[in-house]
Amino acid sequence: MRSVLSFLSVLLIWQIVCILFSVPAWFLPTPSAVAVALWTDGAVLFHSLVFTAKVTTLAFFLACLFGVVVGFFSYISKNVREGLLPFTILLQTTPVVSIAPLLIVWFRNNAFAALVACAWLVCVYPMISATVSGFRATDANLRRLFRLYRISPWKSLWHLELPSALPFILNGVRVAGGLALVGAIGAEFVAGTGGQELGLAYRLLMAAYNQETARLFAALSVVSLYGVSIHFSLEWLEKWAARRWRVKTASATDV
Amino acid sequence: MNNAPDILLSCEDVEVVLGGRKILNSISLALHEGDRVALLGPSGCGKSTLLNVMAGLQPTSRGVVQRKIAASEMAFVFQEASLLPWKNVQDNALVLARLLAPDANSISGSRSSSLHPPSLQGSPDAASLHERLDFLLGKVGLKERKKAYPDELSGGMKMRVALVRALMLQPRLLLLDEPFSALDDLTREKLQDELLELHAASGTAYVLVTHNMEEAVLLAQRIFVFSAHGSILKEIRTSDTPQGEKIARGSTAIMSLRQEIRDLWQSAQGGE
Repeated sequence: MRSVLSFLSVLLIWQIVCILFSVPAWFLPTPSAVAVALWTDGAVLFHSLVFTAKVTTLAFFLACLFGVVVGFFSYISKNVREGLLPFTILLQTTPVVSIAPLLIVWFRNNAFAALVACAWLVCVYPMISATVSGFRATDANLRRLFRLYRISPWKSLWHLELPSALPFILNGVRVAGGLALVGAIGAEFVAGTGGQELGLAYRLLMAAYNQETARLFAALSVVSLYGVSIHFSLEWLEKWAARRWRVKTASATDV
Repeated sequence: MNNAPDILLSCEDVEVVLGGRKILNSISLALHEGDRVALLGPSGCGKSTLLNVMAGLQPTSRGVVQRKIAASEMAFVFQEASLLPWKNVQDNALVLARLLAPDANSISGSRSSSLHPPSLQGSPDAASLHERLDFLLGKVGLKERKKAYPDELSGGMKMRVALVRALMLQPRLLLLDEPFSALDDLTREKLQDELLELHAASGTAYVLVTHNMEEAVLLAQRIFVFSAHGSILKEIRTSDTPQGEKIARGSTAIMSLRQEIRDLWQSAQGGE
């Protein structure tokens, strides 16, 4: 409740300051002007949102799938773990947006694929790392017991390791969800204005280019709203899992 | 015919070297059906390693370990309860028994098998399993907490569930790796008594690793006293048979046994 109130009062102050000091609209439009732009641009923005959401969602699901599989294999095999190490370090340390031009060259005929690949690269590492630390969090004593009793690796995975890892994996999922959007928007910036199918980043760039700042804010608010909805739905999923499996993850309690 | 109890497991001249350090040094001992054994020694003396050697979890560098029992006839309890946080007391206690059951499906009762008519669905096994569970949970005072989750239990209760989980396997040998050392004094004494009661009821042999002299004297009939360097200084017997007279807390017998162990350690250190 208090957060809603503080948000609304900031909007109000913004509106008053704009009117009081007659701030030029190209510099900072009033919230009401943004609302109008949001209304008139609604259809276009929705179309762009669908495009960006497609990129984000596809990249996100591919990253989750890939991250869990790779994370699992680097947990069970030292060779995989050490073999992947240089790439995971590169993935962590290179700003992925700087790889975007390369991806655009490679996927010359398919801008959508280039954007997905870029967004995927941004969010895959947290998934791998969350999966590995999840599996590693499995109780060492129980792992020894399962080995002693020669319980098959599949049973052990199903009854012991996977449930132990799940809350960690879902924590990674939440982080990856936010990053997928960052990757999708960033990639679209780099891909520039040449594309024919247009996402929200293109709307941002065009509005800035034309100095239609109200439309820029309108597009920006759609991006934010989308990011917020990703965050809260994945956070809900994570908290639900933490309750269901009665595990306290580091992040289930913060924010 | 003689009526000496069966040997469950024997170690002969066992040596374990890890990273160039000799952890265990010419260990020879035999465990019998129904034994109450303690491995007593200071931290880092290799007593936990010996427990892992017995279970077959730790390879030896030299010597022979002969097991007359299968892995499934051994059960382990660790210093931590190591319960699954997402399962309640009942399911935690049953998890290993279910996984090790020859016909796991009938016991879990979740899947129906086409070979059995539904009326007979796994009933004998599942019923006896639950009967045993009720008996053991009753013994440790947790019968009413079957549906509780580990995060709702105290440390002592969790350890009791771990003990029940081990005993649900109907082991012939119970391996206890400092199971009570993380508990407060009152809880520890209660659990020690419960272990003795469970032994009296089931006769399951156990090997207890501990660094606590009193605990060893109270719970074991045969105490293997370790030096700091992984060898057995002496075997002390507190009574003639595992079922024999138990030593009471605060008795003079405890005092004299503790003194005997203390003297052993002192003379071992003097000899270095």
